[in-house]
Amino acid sequence: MDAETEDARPSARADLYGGLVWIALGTAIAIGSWNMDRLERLGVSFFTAPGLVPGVLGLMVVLCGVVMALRALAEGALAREQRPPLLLTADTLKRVGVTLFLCVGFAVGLVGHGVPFWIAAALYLFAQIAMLQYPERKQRGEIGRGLLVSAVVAIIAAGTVSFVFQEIFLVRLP
Amino acid sequence: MEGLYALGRSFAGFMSFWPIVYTLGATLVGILVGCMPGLSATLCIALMTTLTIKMQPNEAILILICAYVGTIYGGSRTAILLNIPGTAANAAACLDGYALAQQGQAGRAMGIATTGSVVGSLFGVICLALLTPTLGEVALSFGAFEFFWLALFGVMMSGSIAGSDPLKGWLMGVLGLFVTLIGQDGIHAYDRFTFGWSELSGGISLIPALVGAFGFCEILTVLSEPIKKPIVNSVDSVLPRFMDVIKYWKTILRSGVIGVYIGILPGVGEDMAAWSSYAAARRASKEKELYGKGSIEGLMAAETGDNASIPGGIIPALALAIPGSAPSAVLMAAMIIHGVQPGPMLMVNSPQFVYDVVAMTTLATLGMLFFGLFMVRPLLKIIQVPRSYIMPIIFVLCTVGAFAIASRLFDIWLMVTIGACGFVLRRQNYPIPPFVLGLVLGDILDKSLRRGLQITNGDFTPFFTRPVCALLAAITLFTVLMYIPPVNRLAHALKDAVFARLRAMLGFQGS
Repeated sequence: MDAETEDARPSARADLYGGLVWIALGTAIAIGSWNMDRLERLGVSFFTAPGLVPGVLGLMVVLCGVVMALRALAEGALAREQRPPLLLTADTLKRVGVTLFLCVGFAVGLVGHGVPFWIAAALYLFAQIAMLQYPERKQRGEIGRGLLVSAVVAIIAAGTVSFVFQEIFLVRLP
Repeated sequence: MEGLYALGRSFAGFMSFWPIVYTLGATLVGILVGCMPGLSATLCIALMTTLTIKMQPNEAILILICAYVGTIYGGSRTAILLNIPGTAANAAACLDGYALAQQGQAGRAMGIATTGSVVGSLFGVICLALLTPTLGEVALSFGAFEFFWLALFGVMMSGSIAGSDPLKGWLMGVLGLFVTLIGQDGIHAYDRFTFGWSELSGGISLIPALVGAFGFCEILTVLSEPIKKPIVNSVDSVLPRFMDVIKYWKTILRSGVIGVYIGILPGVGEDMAAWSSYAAARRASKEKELYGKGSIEGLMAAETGDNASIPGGIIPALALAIPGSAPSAVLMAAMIIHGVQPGPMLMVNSPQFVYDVVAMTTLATLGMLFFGLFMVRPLLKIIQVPRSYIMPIIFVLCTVGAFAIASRLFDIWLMVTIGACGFVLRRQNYPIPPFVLGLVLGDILDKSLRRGLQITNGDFTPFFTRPVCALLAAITLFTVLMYIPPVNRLAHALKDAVFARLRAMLGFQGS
């Protein structure tokens, strides 16, 4: 159980990198806030300047980042042996990569670029469902059937979502 | 007496055909969403907000509250049958619920979950009716100083409790606070961190951000693992046994109080309410050995606690505009979208609305009881639907949900970006709820700090000397300082010394 819990945590080195990223982000926020217009020409007090709160938050991020980096160093972030930094196996990375590609392709590439929403949704759903079911269907020798089922589910789901939102609840679709 | 009349009016207002249809429909949707591991109450409310955007405010809020209550309840189904909590709030129910299912008592376990959820929810509703007007009245005396600390307290508490690493929780909270400051500032309308991008001037919209953080992020998380077919345990009679309620009335009452209390605490959600109720019940139990092996009392405590915390979380959202949990934060945002402004002035401007919310939560509880008693077996079919169908459809809904509020493509891109970043951060053990609390409370924190300093001309003293401020500041700073090992050791040494002195004074012979 302990070993499992230990494996489910990111490595100390990942936390060290994380700490450094937070320090960089916090510093950028603090500098951006400091350089922000303080609207003094409008008689605005220093304490109500727009950059005050973001600046304080930036410093808090830097402080937390420093603590995280120091803690990671104390936990052996520079040691040779490390757990995987992102807790992702090759298979997981592949699945996430393909899913991310399809989702971004649909949400950024298809939606809002002239393709009717229900067609865009059906295309995405078909590709995503077919991809997710592919290993199991291949194992059972049912690739053709899998593609057919994916197409039917995709068309029905895309049509239903579009109809319910647009016609029943009068919500505008992209 | 006036309150009772107002409550009666609210109930009467909902006693017609459509509100009852909405109640049953939304509770059913909530239960179905709750039954699907990976889909949270926060996501359900965010998506339903977009679906109901054109409806009348009271009808829309009724649907959202029913969906909220239904989701938390529905999560217990998979906890009992599959040992997978449908929502984070049901994790404690896995311990004894699944053990009971393995003993062939899955139906009884679901009956107990129904009873606990209904009783807990009703207890919470009573507290909602009694405490919200009182807290609202107290809050009328709050100024910028108190609201600053309430906002900071909520984010820091959420960061401390959500997840296993408080430091990462606080970072996510502070990140949420910062992200919400992007865009025009609320006092001088000055563009902050927009880099000349007009889309950012309006700020980061809450609903697309939440749909990304809880929807797309969760979709990536679920789909990153191989999809397995669930094996559902057989189900016996699901009718609750009243003897169980009578036998464990003390546990139910205790869990209800804990649930409401934790719900009221800003930033602490239903999951903590369930675990705290479970732990308290175990400490006080005469049958401790049964816990984790199928304890009726343990399951009852967990389910009573998480459902009681739902109305508990709505109390500060209504009275202070400081939500008690991530789902209540979305609910609060939905209220604002529908033109209801929660906060201390709510009881002055629209006192009837508070009683409307009480009536809505009661109706949601009755809807939950209806489905819990009569629709268990058909509802279990949803568990059998493959994740490979559901998750892509949920992503399509997320896309619509992100777009529908303001009809901006930018919001879809925002949802995807926040979801992808959230996925990477979750893999690194960063909890998402503090980020959400930060998003909701950032504006209050920003305006309160700057207004407070403007009033005092830069003097910080009132932030620490006003009674409520002093208390909140002490708790917040203590929570953070306890994370520093030497301070923690010193505090524990002091506590041990004080207790030893007390024991000596009382003549108690300890081991």
